Amino acid sequence: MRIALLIQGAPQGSDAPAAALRFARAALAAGHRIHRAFFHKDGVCIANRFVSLPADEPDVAAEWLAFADRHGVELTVCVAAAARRGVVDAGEAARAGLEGATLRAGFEVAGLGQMIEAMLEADRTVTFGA
Amino acid sequence: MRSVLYLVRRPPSRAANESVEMMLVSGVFEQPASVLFMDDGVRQLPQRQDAARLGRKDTTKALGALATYGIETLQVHAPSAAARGIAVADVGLDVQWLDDAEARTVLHAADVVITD
Repeated sequence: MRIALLIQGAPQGSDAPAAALRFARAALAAGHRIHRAFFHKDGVCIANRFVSLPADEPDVAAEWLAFADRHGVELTVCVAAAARRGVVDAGEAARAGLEGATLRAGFEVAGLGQMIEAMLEADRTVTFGA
Repeated sequence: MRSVLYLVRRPPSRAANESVEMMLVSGVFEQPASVLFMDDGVRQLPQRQDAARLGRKDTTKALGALATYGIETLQVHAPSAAARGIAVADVGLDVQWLDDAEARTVLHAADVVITD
């Protein structure tokens, strides 16, 4: 079964990205495929490359990136929600006249249409709220 | 095309406006989409909200635009509204009022349910 994930809670303020990752691992172990992980609302904060965590706190973004790399999962953040929260790629930074990109390598920005397409293509869509 | 039901359970907020953005994009894609307001989500519906005083955009205005994007089915879980003192006359949008059984039916009928 192809599964799309919609993650709407921030890695610092909620359990959504960590719970979604545990779900994704379990889904793969059960023989399913993760079609796309789409981050919306505060969930986009996972893609901020300037996040600096205390040494004893797990880096959920790094765990997501390792998982995505190993299993070929696309990690997409909503461009509008991300820009509102200061997460921009080089193109968006230039367009908005900002000094530099803040998007962490391995994440891509895209419009909400990508999430709609994912839910149309996947067999199941699972939402992880704030 | 797979149908989607947007299940709105949270009160008005900036994040609520981002939910409406996703609904609008569903409309642009001509995806069969409907909305069900339940629990604190019903607090998004009363008219005469003054969001500007809180420094944010008016969610009811954005919800009112859904119909022009092809999302015409807005539904309210009536027991949630009643529990919060929200009556039919308080709601300016064109909505359908559902009881428990009807809400259950629409939840089961959708291919995809997106919660906020």
